[in-house]
Amino acid sequence: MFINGFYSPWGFGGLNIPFQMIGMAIAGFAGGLYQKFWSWEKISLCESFFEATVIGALLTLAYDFITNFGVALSFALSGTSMYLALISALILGAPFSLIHIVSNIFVFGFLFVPISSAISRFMEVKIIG
Amino acid sequence: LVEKRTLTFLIAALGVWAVTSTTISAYYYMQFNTYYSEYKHLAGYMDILSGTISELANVTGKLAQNTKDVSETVENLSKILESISLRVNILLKYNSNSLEWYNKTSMPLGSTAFDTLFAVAEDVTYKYYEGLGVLVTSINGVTNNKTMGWLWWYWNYTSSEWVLPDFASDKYILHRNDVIAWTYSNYVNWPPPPPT
Repeated sequence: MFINGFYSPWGFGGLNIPFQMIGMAIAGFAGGLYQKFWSWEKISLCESFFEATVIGALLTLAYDFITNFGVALSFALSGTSMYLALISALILGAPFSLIHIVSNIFVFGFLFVPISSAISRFMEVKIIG
Repeated sequence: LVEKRTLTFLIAALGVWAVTSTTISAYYYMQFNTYYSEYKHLAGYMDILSGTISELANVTGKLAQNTKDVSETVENLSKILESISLRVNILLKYNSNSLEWYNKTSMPLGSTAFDTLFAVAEDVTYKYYEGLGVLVTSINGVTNNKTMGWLWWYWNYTSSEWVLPDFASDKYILHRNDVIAWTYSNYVNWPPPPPT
Protein backbone atom coordinates (compact mmCIF):
# COMPACT_ATOMS: atom_id res chain seq x y z
CA MET A 1 0.00 0.00 0.00
CA PHE A 2 2.93 2.28 0.75
CA ILE A 3 4.34 1.89 -2.76
CA ASN A 4 0.90 1.87 -4.30
CA GLY A 5 -0.09 5.07 -2.57
CA PHE A 6 3.02 7.05 -3.42
CA TYR A 7 4.14 5.69 -6.77
CA SER A 8 1.00 4.50 -8.52
CA PRO A 9 0.37 6.45 -11.74
CA TRP A 10 -3.33 6.39 -10.88
CA GLY A 11 -2.86 8.18 -7.56
CA PHE A 12 -4.03 7.38 -4.04
CA GLY A 13 -7.71 6.76 -4.38
CA GLY A 14 -10.79 8.36 -5.79
CA LEU A 15 -12.83 5.97 -7.86
CA ASN A 16 -10.10 3.39 -7.36
CA ILE A 17 -10.61 3.05 -3.58
CA PRO A 18 -13.26 0.28 -3.79
CA PHE A 19 -10.99 -1.72 -6.09
CA GLN A 20 -8.05 -1.25 -3.73
CA MET A 21 -10.28 -2.52 -0.91
CA ILE A 22 -11.23 -5.58 -2.96
CA GLY A 23 -7.55 -6.20 -3.79
CA MET A 24 -6.52 -5.96 -0.14
CA ALA A 25 -9.43 -8.18 0.93
CA ILE A 26 -8.30 -10.83 -1.53
CA ALA A 27 -4.75 -10.56 -0.20
CA GLY A 28 -6.01 -10.97 3.37
CA PHE A 29 -8.25 -13.88 2.42
CA ALA A 30 -5.39 -15.58 0.55
CA GLY A 31 -3.11 -15.08 3.56
CA GLY A 32 -5.68 -16.69 5.83
CA LEU A 33 -6.13 -19.56 3.42
CA TYR A 34 -2.39 -20.12 3.09
CA GLN A 35 -2.03 -20.18 6.86
CA LYS A 36 -4.08 -23.41 6.89
CA PHE A 37 -1.66 -25.12 4.49
CA TRP A 38 1.57 -23.77 5.99
CA SER A 39 3.46 -25.06 8.98
CA TRP A 40 7.13 -25.47 9.98
CA GLU A 41 6.69 -29.22 10.10
CA LYS A 42 5.46 -29.53 6.49
CA ILE A 43 7.96 -27.42 4.57
CA SER A 44 11.55 -26.31 4.92
CA LEU A 45 12.81 -22.73 5.39
CA CYS A 46 13.91 -22.56 1.77
CA GLU A 47 10.50 -23.74 0.56
CA SER A 48 8.79 -21.20 2.83
CA PHE A 49 10.90 -18.46 1.31
CA PHE A 50 10.05 -19.61 -2.23
CA GLU A 51 6.31 -19.98 -1.55
CA ALA A 52 6.13 -16.60 0.17
CA THR A 53 7.74 -14.85 -2.80
CA VAL A 54 5.40 -16.60 -5.28
CA ILE A 55 2.34 -15.77 -3.22
CA GLY A 56 3.54 -12.20 -2.82
CA ALA A 57 4.06 -11.82 -6.54
CA LEU A 58 0.76 -13.50 -7.42
CA LEU A 59 -1.27 -11.40 -4.98
CA THR A 60 0.44 -8.21 -6.12
CA LEU A 61 -0.36 -9.10 -9.73
CA ALA A 62 -3.97 -9.76 -8.78
CA TYR A 63 -4.12 -6.52 -6.80
CA ASP A 64 -2.69 -4.52 -9.71
CA PHE A 65 -5.09 -6.17 -12.14
CA ILE A 66 -8.07 -5.27 -9.95
CA THR A 67 -6.95 -1.65 -9.44
CA ASN A 68 -6.15 -1.34 -13.15
CA PHE A 69 -9.64 -2.61 -13.82
CA GLY A 70 -10.92 0.23 -11.64
CA VAL A 71 -8.90 2.70 -13.67
CA ALA A 72 -10.23 1.14 -16.88
CA LEU A 73 -13.72 1.65 -15.54
CA SER A 74 -13.03 5.37 -15.05
CA PHE A 75 -11.67 5.50 -18.64
CA ALA A 76 -14.83 3.76 -19.83
CA LEU A 77 -17.01 6.23 -17.94
CA SER A 78 -15.34 9.04 -19.89
CA GLY A 79 -16.37 7.44 -23.20
CA THR A 80 -13.66 4.90 -24.11
CA SER A 81 -14.74 1.36 -24.94
CA MET A 82 -14.29 -1.00 -21.96
CA TYR A 83 -12.03 -3.39 -23.89
CA LEU A 84 -9.70 -0.61 -25.07
CA ALA A 85 -9.79 1.04 -21.64
CA LEU A 86 -8.78 -2.22 -19.90
CA ILE A 87 -5.95 -2.93 -22.35
CA SER A 88 -4.71 0.68 -22.05
CA ALA A 89 -4.85 0.64 -18.25
CA LEU A 90 -3.01 -2.68 -18.02
CA ILE A 91 -0.31 -1.63 -20.47
CA LEU A 92 0.16 1.88 -19.10
CA GLY A 93 0.33 0.50 -15.55
CA ALA A 94 2.91 -2.16 -16.50
CA PRO A 95 6.08 -0.32 -15.36
CA PHE A 96 4.52 0.42 -12.00
CA SER A 97 3.30 -3.18 -11.69
CA LEU A 98 6.82 -4.42 -12.30
CA ILE A 99 8.19 -2.23 -9.50
CA HIS A 100 5.29 -3.26 -7.25
CA ILE A 101 5.77 -6.98 -7.85
CA VAL A 102 9.56 -6.91 -7.48
CA SER A 103 9.36 -4.93 -4.25
CA ASN A 104 6.71 -7.30 -2.85
CA ILE A 105 8.80 -10.33 -3.81
CA PHE A 106 11.55 -8.95 -1.58
CA VAL A 107 9.16 -7.92 1.19
CA PHE A 108 7.35 -11.29 1.24
CA GLY A 109 10.53 -13.29 0.73
CA PHE A 110 12.51 -11.69 3.51
CA LEU A 111 9.80 -10.77 6.04
CA PHE A 112 7.30 -13.63 5.80
CA VAL A 113 9.37 -16.23 7.66
CA PRO A 114 10.62 -14.02 10.56
CA ILE A 115 7.21 -12.42 11.07
CA SER A 116 5.42 -15.77 10.94
CA SER A 117 7.80 -17.30 13.49
CA ALA A 118 7.46 -14.25 15.76
CA ILE A 119 3.66 -14.45 15.59
CA SER A 120 3.80 -18.22 16.26
CA ARG A 121 5.92 -17.64 19.39
CA PHE A 122 3.60 -14.86 20.53
CA MET A 123 0.60 -17.16 20.07
CA GLU A 124 2.34 -19.93 22.03
CA VAL A 125 3.07 -17.54 24.89
CA LYS A 126 -0.53 -16.37 24.85
CA ILE A 127 -1.87 -19.94 24.90
CA ILE A 128 0.47 -21.00 27.73
CA GLY A 129 -0.45 -17.86 29.57
CA LEU B 1 10.18 -36.12 -8.75
CA VAL B 2 8.97 -32.68 -7.84
CA GLU B 3 6.35 -32.51 -5.16
CA LYS B 4 2.85 -31.45 -6.25
CA ARG B 5 2.87 -28.43 -3.92
CA THR B 6 6.19 -27.19 -5.25
CA LEU B 7 4.97 -27.70 -8.81
CA THR B 8 1.87 -25.62 -8.08
CA PHE B 9 4.01 -22.76 -6.81
CA LEU B 10 6.39 -23.08 -9.74
CA ILE B 11 3.48 -22.79 -12.16
CA ALA B 12 2.13 -19.80 -10.25
CA ALA B 13 5.57 -18.14 -10.41
CA LEU B 14 5.75 -18.86 -14.13
CA GLY B 15 2.28 -17.35 -14.55
CA VAL B 16 3.30 -14.18 -12.73
CA TRP B 17 6.44 -13.94 -14.85
CA ALA B 18 4.47 -14.54 -18.07
CA VAL B 19 1.79 -11.96 -17.33
CA THR B 20 4.28 -9.35 -16.09
CA SER B 21 6.69 -9.77 -18.99
CA THR B 22 3.82 -9.68 -21.49
CA THR B 23 2.44 -6.42 -20.16
CA ILE B 24 5.93 -4.91 -19.95
CA SER B 25 6.58 -5.98 -23.55
CA ALA B 26 3.27 -4.44 -24.60
CA TYR B 27 4.20 -1.26 -22.75
CA TYR B 28 7.56 -1.02 -24.48
CA TYR B 29 5.96 -1.88 -27.82
CA MET B 30 3.55 1.03 -27.31
CA GLN B 31 6.40 3.30 -26.28
CA PHE B 32 8.39 2.21 -29.31
CA ASN B 33 5.42 2.94 -31.61
CA THR B 34 4.89 6.33 -30.01
CA TYR B 35 8.52 7.37 -30.33
CA TYR B 36 8.87 5.84 -33.79
CA SER B 37 5.82 7.77 -34.94
CA GLU B 38 7.28 10.96 -33.45
CA TYR B 39 10.59 10.17 -35.13
CA LYS B 40 8.86 9.71 -38.51
CA HIS B 41 6.97 12.94 -37.96
CA LEU B 42 10.20 14.74 -37.14
CA ALA B 43 11.97 13.15 -40.10
CA GLY B 44 9.15 14.50 -42.32
CA TYR B 45 9.70 17.96 -40.93
CA MET B 46 13.45 17.57 -41.44
CA ASP B 47 12.80 16.69 -45.10
CA ILE B 48 10.62 19.78 -45.52
CA LEU B 49 13.25 21.88 -43.76
CA SER B 50 15.99 20.42 -45.92
CA GLY B 51 13.96 21.26 -49.06
CA THR B 52 13.38 24.78 -47.82
CA ILE B 53 17.08 25.24 -47.06
CA SER B 54 17.93 23.93 -50.54
CA GLU B 55 15.46 26.37 -52.15
CA LEU B 56 16.86 29.15 -50.00
CA ALA B 57 20.38 28.27 -51.14
CA ASN B 58 19.21 28.43 -54.77
CA VAL B 59 17.53 31.78 -54.23
CA THR B 60 20.65 33.05 -52.43
CA GLY B 61 22.77 31.89 -55.37
CA LYS B 62 20.51 33.67 -57.85
CA LEU B 63 20.49 36.75 -55.67
CA ALA B 64 24.30 36.72 -55.55
CA GLN B 65 24.39 36.42 -59.35
CA ASN B 66 21.90 39.30 -59.68
CA THR B 67 23.93 41.38 -57.24
CA LYS B 68 27.04 40.67 -59.29
CA ASP B 69 25.20 41.69 -62.47
CA VAL B 70 23.95 44.89 -60.84
CA SER B 71 27.44 45.59 -59.54
CA GLU B 72 28.90 45.16 -63.04
CA THR B 73 26.19 47.41 -64.48
CA VAL B 74 26.90 50.06 -61.86
CA GLU B 75 30.61 49.77 -62.58
CA ASN B 76 30.02 50.18 -66.32
CA LEU B 77 27.69 53.07 -65.67
CA SER B 78 30.29 54.63 -63.42
CA LYS B 79 32.89 54.31 -66.18
CA ILE B 80 30.51 55.94 -68.64
CA LEU B 81 29.80 58.72 -66.15
CA GLU B 82 33.52 59.15 -65.57
CA SER B 83 34.03 59.48 -69.32
CA ILE B 84 31.45 62.25 -69.61
CA SER B 85 32.26 64.03 -66.34
CA LEU B 86 35.21 65.22 -64.34
CA ARG B 87 36.03 65.75 -60.69
CA VAL B 88 37.20 69.02 -59.18
CA ASN B 89 37.98 70.31 -55.70
CA ILE B 90 36.12 73.47 -54.76
CA LEU B 91 36.84 75.91 -51.91
CA LEU B 92 34.34 78.43 -50.57
CA LYS B 93 36.09 80.93 -48.31
CA TYR B 94 33.82 83.42 -46.53
CA ASN B 95 36.66 84.72 -44.31
CA SER B 96 39.94 83.45 -42.88
CA ASN B 97 38.08 81.34 -40.31
CA SER B 98 35.37 79.94 -42.56
CA LEU B 99 36.64 77.66 -45.30
CA GLU B 100 34.46 75.00 -46.91
CA TRP B 101 36.13 72.37 -49.07
CA TYR B 102 34.07 70.30 -51.52
CA ASN B 103 36.55 67.73 -52.76
CA LYS B 104 36.06 65.44 -55.78
CA THR B 105 32.87 67.16 -56.85
CA SER B 106 31.53 65.69 -60.08
CA MET B 107 30.86 68.13 -62.89
CA PRO B 108 29.77 67.50 -66.48
CA LEU B 109 32.42 67.76 -69.14
CA GLY B 110 32.57 71.30 -70.55
CA SER B 111 31.54 72.94 -67.24
CA THR B 112 33.06 76.27 -66.34
CA ALA B 113 34.45 77.56 -63.06
CA PHE B 114 31.24 79.54 -62.68
CA ASP B 115 29.22 76.26 -62.82
CA THR B 116 31.06 74.93 -59.77
CA LEU B 117 29.15 77.43 -57.64
CA PHE B 118 25.86 75.76 -58.46
CA ALA B 119 27.28 72.42 -57.34
CA VAL B 120 28.26 73.66 -53.86
CA ALA B 121 26.22 76.80 -53.01
CA GLU B 122 22.48 77.03 -52.43
CA ASP B 123 21.98 80.68 -53.26
CA VAL B 124 23.99 82.43 -55.97
CA THR B 125 23.32 85.79 -57.60
CA TYR B 126 25.31 87.26 -60.44
CA LYS B 127 25.36 89.84 -63.19
CA TYR B 128 26.18 89.13 -66.79
CA TYR B 129 28.17 91.71 -68.72
CA GLU B 130 28.15 91.37 -72.46
CA GLY B 131 31.63 90.65 -73.75
CA LEU B 132 33.16 90.35 -70.24
CA GLY B 133 31.14 87.52 -68.77
CA VAL B 134 29.69 86.79 -65.33
CA LEU B 135 30.27 88.74 -62.13
CA VAL B 136 29.18 86.90 -58.99
CA THR B 137 27.47 89.31 -56.62
CA SER B 138 26.55 87.03 -53.69
CA ILE B 139 27.00 83.46 -52.50
CA ASN B 140 24.75 81.97 -49.82
CA GLY B 141 23.58 85.43 -48.73
CA VAL B 142 27.07 86.95 -48.49
CA THR B 143 26.87 89.94 -50.84
CA ASN B 144 29.47 92.16 -52.47
CA ASN B 145 29.87 95.72 -51.14
CA LYS B 146 32.16 98.71 -51.63
CA THR B 147 35.22 97.01 -50.10
CA MET B 148 34.48 93.29 -50.21
CA GLY B 149 33.59 91.07 -53.10
CA TRP B 150 33.64 87.52 -54.45
CA LEU B 151 36.74 86.58 -56.47
CA TRP B 152 37.61 83.26 -58.05
CA TRP B 153 40.97 81.47 -58.25
CA TYR B 154 42.36 78.30 -59.78
CA TRP B 155 45.35 76.25 -58.71
CA ASN B 156 48.29 76.10 -61.07
CA TYR B 157 49.84 72.66 -60.72
CA THR B 158 52.94 73.64 -62.68
CA SER B 159 53.92 76.60 -60.49
CA SER B 160 52.14 75.26 -57.41
CA GLU B 161 50.37 78.48 -56.66
CA TRP B 162 46.94 80.06 -56.76
CA VAL B 163 46.20 82.11 -59.83
CA LEU B 164 43.78 85.06 -59.79
CA PRO B 165 42.57 85.18 -63.41
CA ASP B 166 41.86 88.43 -65.20
CA PHE B 167 38.79 87.02 -66.95
CA ALA B 168 35.34 85.92 -65.80
CA SER B 169 34.72 82.50 -64.30
CA ASP B 170 32.35 81.45 -67.07
CA LYS B 171 35.20 81.77 -69.55
CA TYR B 172 37.31 79.10 -67.86
CA ILE B 173 36.55 75.50 -68.98
CA LEU B 174 37.29 73.04 -66.20
CA HIS B 175 39.90 70.29 -66.53
CA ARG B 176 40.06 67.03 -64.59
CA ASN B 177 41.30 67.51 -60.98
CA ASP B 178 41.18 71.30 -61.15
CA VAL B 179 41.07 73.18 -57.86
CA ILE B 180 38.78 76.20 -57.86
CA ALA B 181 38.49 78.69 -55.00
CA TRP B 182 35.82 81.29 -54.35
CA THR B 183 36.97 83.89 -51.83
CA TYR B 184 35.13 86.79 -50.25
CA SER B 185 38.03 89.29 -50.21
CA ASN B 186 38.85 92.91 -49.63
CA TYR B 187 39.74 94.23 -53.07
CA VAL B 188 40.69 97.76 -51.98
CA ASN B 189 44.27 96.56 -51.41
CA TRP B 190 45.14 94.87 -54.71
CA PRO B 191 46.08 92.12 -55.19
CA PRO B 192 44.13 90.32 -52.47
CA PRO B 193 45.85 87.46 -50.58
CA PRO B 194 45.53 83.97 -52.09
CA PRO B 195 42.90 81.60 -50.62
CA THR B 196 45.37 79.48 -48.60
